Amino acid sequence: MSRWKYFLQRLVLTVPILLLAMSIVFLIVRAGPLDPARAIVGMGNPAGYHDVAVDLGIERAVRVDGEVRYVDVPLWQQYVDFMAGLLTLDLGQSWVIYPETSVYEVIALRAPRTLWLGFWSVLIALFVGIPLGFYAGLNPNTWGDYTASFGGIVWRAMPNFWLAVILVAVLSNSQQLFGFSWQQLVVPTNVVTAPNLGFLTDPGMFLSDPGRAFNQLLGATKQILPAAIVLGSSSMGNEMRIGRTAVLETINSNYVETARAKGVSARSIVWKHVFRNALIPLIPIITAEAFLLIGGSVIVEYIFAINGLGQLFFTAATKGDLPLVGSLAFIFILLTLSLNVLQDFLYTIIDPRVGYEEN
Amino acid sequence: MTEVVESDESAREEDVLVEVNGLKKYYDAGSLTGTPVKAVDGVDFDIRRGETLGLVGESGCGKTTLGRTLVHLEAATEGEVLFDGRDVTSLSGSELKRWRRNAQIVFQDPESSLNDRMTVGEIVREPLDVHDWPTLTVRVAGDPDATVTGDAEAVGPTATGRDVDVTVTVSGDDADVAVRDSLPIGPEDLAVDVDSGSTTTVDVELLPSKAQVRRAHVRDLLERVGMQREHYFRYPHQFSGGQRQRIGIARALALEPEFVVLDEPVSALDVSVQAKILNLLEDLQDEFGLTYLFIAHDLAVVRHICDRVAVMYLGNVMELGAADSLFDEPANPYTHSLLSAIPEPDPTIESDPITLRGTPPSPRDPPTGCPFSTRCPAKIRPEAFDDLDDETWAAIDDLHRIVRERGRAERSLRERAREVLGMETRFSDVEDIVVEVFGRLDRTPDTTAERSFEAMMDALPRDVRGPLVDVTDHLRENREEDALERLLDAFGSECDATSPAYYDVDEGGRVSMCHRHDPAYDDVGPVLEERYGDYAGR
Amino acid sequence: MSQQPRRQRTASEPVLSVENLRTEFHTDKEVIRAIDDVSFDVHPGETVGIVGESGSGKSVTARSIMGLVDDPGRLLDGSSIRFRGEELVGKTEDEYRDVRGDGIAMVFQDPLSSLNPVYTVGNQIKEALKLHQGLTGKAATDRAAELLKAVSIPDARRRLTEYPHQFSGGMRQRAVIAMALACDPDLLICDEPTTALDVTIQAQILELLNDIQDAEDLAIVFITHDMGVIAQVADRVNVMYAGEFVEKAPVEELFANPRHPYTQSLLESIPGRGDADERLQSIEGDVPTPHGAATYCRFAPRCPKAFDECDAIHPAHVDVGEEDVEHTAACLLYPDDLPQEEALAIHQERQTEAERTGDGDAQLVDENTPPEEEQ
Repeated sequence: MSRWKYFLQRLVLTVPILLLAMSIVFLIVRAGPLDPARAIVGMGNPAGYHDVAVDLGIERAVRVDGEVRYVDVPLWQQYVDFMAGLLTLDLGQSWVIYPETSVYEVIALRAPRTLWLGFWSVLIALFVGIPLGFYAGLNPNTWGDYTASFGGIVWRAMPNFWLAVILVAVLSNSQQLFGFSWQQLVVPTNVVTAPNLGFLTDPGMFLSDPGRAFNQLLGATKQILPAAIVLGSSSMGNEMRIGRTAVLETINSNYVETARAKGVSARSIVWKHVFRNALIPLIPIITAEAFLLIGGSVIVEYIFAINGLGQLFFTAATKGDLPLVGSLAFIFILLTLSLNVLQDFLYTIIDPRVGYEEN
Repeated sequence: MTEVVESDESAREEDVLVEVNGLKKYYDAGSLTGTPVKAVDGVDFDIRRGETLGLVGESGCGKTTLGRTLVHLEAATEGEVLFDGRDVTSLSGSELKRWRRNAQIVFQDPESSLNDRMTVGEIVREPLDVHDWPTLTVRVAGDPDATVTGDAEAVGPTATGRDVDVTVTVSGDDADVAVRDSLPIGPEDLAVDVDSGSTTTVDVELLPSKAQVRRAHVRDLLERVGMQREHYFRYPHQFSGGQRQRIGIARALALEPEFVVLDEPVSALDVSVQAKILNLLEDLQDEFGLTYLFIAHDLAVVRHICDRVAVMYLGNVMELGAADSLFDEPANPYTHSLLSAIPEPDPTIESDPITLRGTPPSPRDPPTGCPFSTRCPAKIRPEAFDDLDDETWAAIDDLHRIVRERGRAERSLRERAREVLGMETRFSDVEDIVVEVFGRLDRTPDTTAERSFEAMMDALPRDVRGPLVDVTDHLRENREEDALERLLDAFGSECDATSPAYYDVDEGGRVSMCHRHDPAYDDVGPVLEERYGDYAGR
Repeated sequence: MSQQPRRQRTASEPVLSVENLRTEFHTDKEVIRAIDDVSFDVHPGETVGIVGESGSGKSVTARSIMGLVDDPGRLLDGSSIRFRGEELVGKTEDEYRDVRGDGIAMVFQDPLSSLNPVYTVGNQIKEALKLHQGLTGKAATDRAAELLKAVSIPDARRRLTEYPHQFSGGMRQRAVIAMALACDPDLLICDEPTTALDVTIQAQILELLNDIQDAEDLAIVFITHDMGVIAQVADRVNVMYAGEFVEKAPVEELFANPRHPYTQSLLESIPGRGDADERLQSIEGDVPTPHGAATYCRFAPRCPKAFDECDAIHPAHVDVGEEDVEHTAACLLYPDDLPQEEALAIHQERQTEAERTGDGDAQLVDENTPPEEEQ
C-alpha cells in the first residue's frame, strides 16, 4: 500500500489506544485503593467528604423523605462521565495542590518549563549524539572514534540523578573551582530555580521590548542548560552508539559501492547516500528517548527545582490529588501518542519502503 | 479450476506415495486490504515411491511454497495431500508430529539453515531428541497376539521394512532376536525376556542409554554423507558450503523418512561441489529407498537427477512428464521458452532463445485465463488478425502488459487528488507510451520523439487503429479496466478467456496445460517455428 | 544470440590493459593474496570473460580495476592497469573518480542492494548524468527516460519516479545497466550480473548487453562462474583459480580443447555434458586461500594429473594452441611436444627469472606472444 495510506492507518489506530489507556487510568484513579474524595479531604471531617464526593461525581445527593442522602454513583456511570469529560477536554480542577484552580491553569503554569527542558534535552541529544555517532562511524577504529565511543558509553552509564547532584554542586562552587562564577556568566541566574519563561507566553515582547526579551531568552537557556545536559546525556550516548553502527552498515552496503563506482564524490556519498539510510534505524531511538524525557524529568526537575509537570505529577500522586493525577495522565498519554505519530510520520518521509509488502 | 483429463489408469499402476489434489496456498487470503497472493493456485500431481520428481520454475512460481506445503511447513488453503492414502493437510497435534518422521526437507541456503550456536552433532541429533528416537518397534514372529513391554512397542503383523526395528522369534521361553541393519545397535544391546503364559509377553529392554544410541546414529549418518565422525563436535561455521549442505542432508535423514523435499539443495554451491552433492543424493536414494521432490531452477541439474519433471509458472503446473522426453521434446510453450533460454555450454551453438518479453505477473493479480497468456510466445491470435505481422503483435502484447501494470500501480493519495482535479500526474503521458510502443515498428532511424500520435496511428492498419484509439481514450481517463477490456475484446483469444485443461501429449503419460493442444488449434511446435524461426530449442 | 561471427581481435589499441596485477589483503591474522600476477587486455567491441568459482578472486579483479580496493587491501608494486593508455594504478581518489562512470562503468551482482532504496531510480540515474555530463533539470530527465527506454523498460517516464523496490528483479538490473551506460563509458565491467536472476530474465539481459555492445562498440569484461553463460557471451575467456589465471583462450578453443586440468574438470562437472546416467565428475577438495606469492601450482592438491614437481615449481603460461590461435595455459604438463625435463626447465627458468626481477611473468611472456600484443 502507498506509504501515506499506511501513515493514515497508524494515525487512526491511535484513537482506540487512547481510549484504552484512559480507561486504565480511570480504573486506577477511581476504582483503585485510594478513595479520591477521602484522599482530598483526609480522615475525619465527614461532612466535607460528601461535598467533595458529590463534586467529584462519586456520590449523588438524593432526597429521601425530605432528607438528603448520599448514594454512590455506579462505577460505569462514573466511567462514562470521566470519558465524556476527557473527550470534551474538560479536565476538571486540582483539589489539593492548587485548590480551586482548573487543571488548564495549572498546566499553563507548569508545562512551559517541562517543555523547555524537554526541548533542550532532545536538541542536545540529537545534535551532539548523532553527529558524534556519524563521525565515529565514518572514521572507525581511529582515536577519534575511540574517544567518541568511550565518551558516549561513559556518559550513558552515569545515572542522571547522580550527575544532576554533581552538576549542582560543581556549578554552585564554580567560583572556587574554575575561577569564574557560573551564576554571573553572561546573564545572572541561580543554579537551582525555575527558568523565567515569560517570553514564551508573551511572544509579542520580542517586538515591543526586544532587549528585555532576549535577555530573558538567554537567561532561560542558561538556566535550563545543566538540567538539559543531564537529561539528554543518556539519550545522547545511545544515539551515538546506534548512529555509529548505522553508518558503518550503510558505508559497507552495495549501493554505496555502486555510487563509488559511478564516481560520486565522498561528500555526496556521506550526505546523500549514507545519511538518510543511517537515519532509518535511529528514528525509533529518538522517539523512544523522547518518551523517557517525560518520566525521567521528575528527578531532574526536583533536583534543579524547576517545578515543571513531572514534579507536579509526582507531588499530586503523593499528596493524593487524584483528579489532577488523572488529568495529567491524560496529557502525558496524549503526548506519548503524538510522539508515536511523529515517529510514523518521520518513517514515512524518510523511508519509501514503508507499508510495502513483499509478494 | 482446471480439469484433469483422466488418462489411462492402468498405465499408472505404480505405487503412489504422495498424491496432491487441487492444492492451493494463498497468503493474506482473508485480509481486508488487497488481494491474496496466490502462491500455489490449484496443483495436481503424484509422486511415485522411489522416484525423483523435479519441480522447476522461476522465482515467484510457487515451487518453494509447494514444497513447504507438502511437508506441512505451510498450511494449505485448499485441497488435499494424500500421503500413502492418508490426507495430511488436516493433521494436527501429536498425529502431525508423528507423521513428520516420514517427510523431511533439505533447505536451500547452507549458510542460514543450520543454527550456528549448535554443534553439528546437536543439529543432526535434534530430530531424534524431539521424537524420542528410537521407539523400538518389535514384531513377535508368528504370534500376533503377543504383548510387548519395556522400552519397546508392538507393531502389527503387516508391518515391514523400516517399520520393524526388532524381530523376536519365540520358541518356548527362548527368544531369537534380530535387529534391523540401519539401527546402530545389535541384539547384544537388548535384554529380551519372554514370558509364555496364556498370552506371550515379551519384555525388551534397551541396555545402552537412548542418548548413546542417538549419538551412534548421528555418527553413522555423518559418515554416510561423507563427513567424519569427529565432526560431531564442530560448529557449522568451520565448514564450507558443500559440507554444510551435507550436514543438512544428514539432519533430514536422521529419522529415516520415506519422502524428502529438496528445496534447491545445490543452487548456492559451486559447480564442482554441486556434482558431489548430487552424487551423494543419488547414492542415498538407492541406499535408503527414498522418494525425492527435487526443487530447482537449474534445468541441467534437474535433467540429470530427476525421473519426472513438473514445470511451474505462477502457481500452476504447466507441464509434467518424464524428464528425458520433456527436455528433448517439450510440449508447453513455457517449457519451450525456459529450455531455449538456458545458455548452452558450447560456444559453437548459436544461442537464439525465444526471449520472453516482460516479467511474470504478480501472484496477487494473475491473468484471467491461462496464467502464461501475458507472455506466451505461442499465444493464439484471433482469426481476424491472422495476417498481422509478429512485430505489431509484440507491440500489442507490450501495450497489454503496460495497461495491466498501470492498473496495479500504486496511486498515492496525492496523485488521486491531482487526477480528480484534472492535473497532470505521472500517469498522464498515455500518448507518449503508445507512440513509444508502436513507434518502434517504423524502420526510420529517428522515430519516437518527433512522431506525432496521429501520424503514427494513421500508419497502422485500420483494424488495429480502431481499438487502439478506444484504448488510448480509456487510458487518458485512467480507466485501466475498460482499456484492458477493450484490448482483450479486440485482440484477445481463448488464452485470455479460459484456463486450459491438461492434455495428454505423449504415450508416456506426459500432460501439458495449453489450449493449443486441442486439435482445433495448431500445435505449439510448428507455431513457434513459424514465428521464431530456428530457435534454440532442444 | 547474435548471428555475427565471433569478434576477432583487431590490431587496434586495447581499451584496458592489465599487467602483473597483484592485490593483497593484510588483516590482523593473515595476509591474503587475492590476485597473484594477472595479466590480460580488452579491445573495443569485444567481451572478455573471467570465469572461476567462488574464492578464485574474480570480484577482487573487477574492484582492483575500478580502484575500489580499500584498506586493508592494496595493489602491490609492479601492478599496472592501463585504461585508454593511461596508467590507473597510483591515481589519487579524485583522479580515479573522473575515470569511474565516465570511462569505466560497473554492474554488480545483486540489483536490489545495488540501488539506494530511499531514492527513486530516476534520481540515481540523473546523479550519474549530472556528475559526468553536467545535465540537470528537464534535459536530465529526458535523457534518463531515453536510457530506460534503451534498456527496454516500458513506461519509462513513470518508472523514473518509482523506487527500486517497486521494480522486479530483471527490471532492476536493466535500470542498473542503464545507469552504468548513462555516461557512455568505453568499458563495462559486469560482476556476475545475471547470477541472481532467473534463466529467462538472464536471457533478456544477455541479449540486451549484446545489442548494446553492437550498437556502441563497447568493451565488456564479464565475470561469472557459469560456463554456459560464458560460452554465449564471451569472445575470449580467462579461467581463474585461487588468484591466478590458469588458462586463457578464445571461447570456442577453450571449450573444444581445454588444456589445463582445472578447466577440464570444470567442464566435466557441468551436468549435461556427459551421459545422463553416469555420475557427475567432481573435483575433490576446496579452493585454497592463497597467502603469498605462489612458488608451486595452487591446483596441485586437487589435480587428477599432478605429479611431484607440481609442488615445487610454479607453472608459467605457455602456448598450448595451434599456430594462429592464442591459447595459453599455466601447467607443468605443457608444452607437451617437448620431453618433460625440457618443459619443466622452461617453467623453472621463468620462475627464477620472475623471482629475480620481481616482475612476474609479464616480461618473458612478451617475448613469446605474437607481435600484435606488443605495445
